[in-house]
Amino acid sequence: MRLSLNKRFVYRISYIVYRAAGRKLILFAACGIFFAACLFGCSKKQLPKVHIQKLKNSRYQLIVDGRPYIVKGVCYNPVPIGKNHEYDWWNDPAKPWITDGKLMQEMGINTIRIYEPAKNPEAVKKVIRDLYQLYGIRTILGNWLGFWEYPSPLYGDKAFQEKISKEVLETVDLYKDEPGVLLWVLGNENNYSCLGRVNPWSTPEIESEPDPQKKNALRYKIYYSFVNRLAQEIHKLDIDHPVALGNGELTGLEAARDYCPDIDLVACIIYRGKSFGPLFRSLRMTFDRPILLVEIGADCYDAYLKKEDQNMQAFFLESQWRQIYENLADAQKGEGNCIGAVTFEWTDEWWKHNEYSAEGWNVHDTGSNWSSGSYYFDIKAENNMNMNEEWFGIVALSEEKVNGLYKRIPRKAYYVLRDFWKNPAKN
Amino acid sequence: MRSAICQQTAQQDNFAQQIMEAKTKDEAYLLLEEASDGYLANNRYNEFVAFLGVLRPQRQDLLPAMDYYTGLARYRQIEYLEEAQEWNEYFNRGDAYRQELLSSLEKAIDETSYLEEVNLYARLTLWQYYKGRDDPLNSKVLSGLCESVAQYSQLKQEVEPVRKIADALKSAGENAKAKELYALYIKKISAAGIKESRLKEIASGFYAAGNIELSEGIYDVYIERSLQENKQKLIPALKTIAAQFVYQDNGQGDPVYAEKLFAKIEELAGKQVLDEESMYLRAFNLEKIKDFAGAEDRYAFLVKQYPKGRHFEEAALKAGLISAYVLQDKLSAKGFFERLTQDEKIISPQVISAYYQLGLLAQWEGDLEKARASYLKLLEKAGGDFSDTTALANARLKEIEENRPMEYNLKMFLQASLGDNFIAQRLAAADLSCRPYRLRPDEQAVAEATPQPAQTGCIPIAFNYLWSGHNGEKEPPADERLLKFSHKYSGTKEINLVIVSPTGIIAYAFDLVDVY
Repeated sequence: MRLSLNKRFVYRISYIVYRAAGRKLILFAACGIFFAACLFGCSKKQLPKVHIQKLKNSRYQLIVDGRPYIVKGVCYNPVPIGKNHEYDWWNDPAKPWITDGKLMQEMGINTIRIYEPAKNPEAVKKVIRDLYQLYGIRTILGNWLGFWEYPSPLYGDKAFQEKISKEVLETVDLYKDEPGVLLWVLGNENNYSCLGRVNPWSTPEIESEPDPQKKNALRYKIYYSFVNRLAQEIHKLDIDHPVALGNGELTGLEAARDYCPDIDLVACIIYRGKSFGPLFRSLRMTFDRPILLVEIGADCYDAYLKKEDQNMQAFFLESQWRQIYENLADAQKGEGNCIGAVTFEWTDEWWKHNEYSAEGWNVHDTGSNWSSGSYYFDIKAENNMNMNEEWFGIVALSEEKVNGLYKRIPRKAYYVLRDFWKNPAKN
Repeated sequence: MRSAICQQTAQQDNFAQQIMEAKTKDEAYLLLEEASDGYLANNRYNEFVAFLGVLRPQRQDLLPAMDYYTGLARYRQIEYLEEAQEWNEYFNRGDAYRQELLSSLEKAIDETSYLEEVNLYARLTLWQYYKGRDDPLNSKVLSGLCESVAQYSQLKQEVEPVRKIADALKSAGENAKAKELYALYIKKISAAGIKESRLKEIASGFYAAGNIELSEGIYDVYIERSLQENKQKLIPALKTIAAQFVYQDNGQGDPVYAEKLFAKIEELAGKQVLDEESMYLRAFNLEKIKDFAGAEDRYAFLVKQYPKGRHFEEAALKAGLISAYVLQDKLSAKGFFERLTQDEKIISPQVISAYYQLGLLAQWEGDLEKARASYLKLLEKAGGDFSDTTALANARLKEIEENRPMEYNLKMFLQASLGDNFIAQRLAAADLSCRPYRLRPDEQAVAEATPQPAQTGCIPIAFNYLWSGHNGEKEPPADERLLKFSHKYSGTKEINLVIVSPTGIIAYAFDLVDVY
């Protein structure tokens, strides 16, 4: 962890005082903090604005501006009907984030996740500022780490590493002082490329190794060591925001434990249906870091009955969030290593099923893209293809336009999660 | 409709009356159980809870049982609402039901001791609820349940609750804990002075009822006790029990347990004690659990010991196929195939297949003349029969005559299984299974390939499934993980598969089916 012992001690005292005394005794708390700070010679050093706190019972909390923060997030990529992922929504004159931010605030969302910011920093800053200043919504900024580069992400290549490092550090430098920034996520499901099945890459050393398991181990070593060096560089540049390792499932984290000591938290992409299973405990055993689930969710199209089913989506999301709350630091039970989650996603994206056909971007396709038995209600669909990539939004897009924007229609999951967050204890 | 409702109401009143008047607790418990079965089987959860509410003031002595049944009803109700997708009630009343479930079960547990069945069943339901939600409390509740059952079993004579709870754990996939409780049950019944012959009967009864785990546990006690008496007398019984557990297409049986018993027989009396039938069963059983090396060893033994036996041809062909395509031992493989073709007078599906395999191995090694000779011999022997194998031979002959490379799927399979860059792990990288393994001529069968789940998240990968071998008379499908086939002629048919991802071969698999 990045906190020094002194900082941790001071912070712990301030936090205990805060919790124990409550708002009525703020003056007393402030004195306590000041006293502790003087005592340990840390008065000149400030706590990072956003940091991870490891509690006495080994549980983890995300602290933002001195207060515990549960990430209640959504993945945000408001591509309108008829456009694809190349659309520059950041410069959309209709400012979708203003409309969306209001709806998000009303629902209880406090965070959005951006996979990678656009090239125009002023536009990006405007979005981050608007969401934060108007609605108190913070932004997680990510970087793909070249995962989609053609022909493949060459993590074993020095020039490739340097190019990506430069890109990432420029992003951090550009946005680190934005008050709305929450944390950095490095990569997404890039670890799967180390298993050689998606976006495969190699090096002469890997090629000369005959054992497939050892090949994978070599790829993990190269990839995770690279991410760790990036984390070290980011920490030098920005002390105020934690660095997360984006990872598909927990795959490869036993290697990350050895090669990523400078990572502050893991940010996992998890699609396990109703329940995360022993995820939180497994992580504790594998790589003891706090976990932020940066992609969870369910689609709302029943591929078997061939109709929209908002209840099915609401059911899975409520069940997932219930388990997230059971594993927060202050929960009565659970592992206490979860700091929240980001639901995939805010609005449907109509371009996804057939991304190469511009005609298809105007159609809300019901074709399925992948299969998952964990989403069991429609698993009997043809060839078990039950996951409908264009139907993950907790807000649907109507073809009717209002003030230049396709009208947002909250789905049942929107209301179920809103009610859950208002009173999670009763569940 | 109205008469059904009237009937239900009358039955409900009747139960309530009987429970209120029951003289003993045991009598009342039985009636409650009967009432619960009736209500819950018909998804009448709210009515059952209301029914219990009516009884409460009248029978204070039954309160823990009524709390248990309230919790059970709510547990089943939540399960039902999800399954039936009764979403309005699920979202509107789900939280209230969950709270009632927890408070009722916790009350039932607090108000009783582990010597009462209600206590055990309330713990079981609580655990099932937590387990279903992957709640972090589930392991703690499970430990508490198992400890309570252990204490109960020490002090009480009744053993059925122990078995019922073990069954519930097993069906929920908690095999290790279920095994512990089955052990308690077995200990209890074996301590009751039951004779060996009766133990065997009980084990057989559980086998027939589908409780394989418990059946095996009791057979183990029977075997242990019998070993102390007369080892030699035990061997015929062991053969019979092992035969009961060998692989069966209907899913009954436990091939791993069967092999354990075969190994025990060999340990007690040597390999020779197994007659041809038992040795064949053992080899077949090993083949089905994909212990190909073990199967080859037993088939080879059969070939050597029983050259005139009824399983000779099948054993020789299978030993050859396994030697070639799994064990990479072409020399032994050829030896087995040549044994089958030695006697010119014999024509059988296995002999025809052996000619094909000899041709194929020669073609793969580049000895095209030898290959051609084998295929021609096959066609001569087959006459107009065995069209599935003659079609394959004709296709190979055409390749040789037209100087074309071997059919792509087959070539890839031979490359993966016999090539210089053989990678053993590829054989374990996919699971290939057939349903059924033993089929009648023209019966439809399915081979299903499942690549090892290397995770790729929501990024789909397109695998190519390259099927080859004896796939029936239809062309194998391109790029489908299911292969549907049927065969006109009897005999052993080999199913070959190579799975290719954009990065190259990731797995190869091999399986055998028998047409009778």
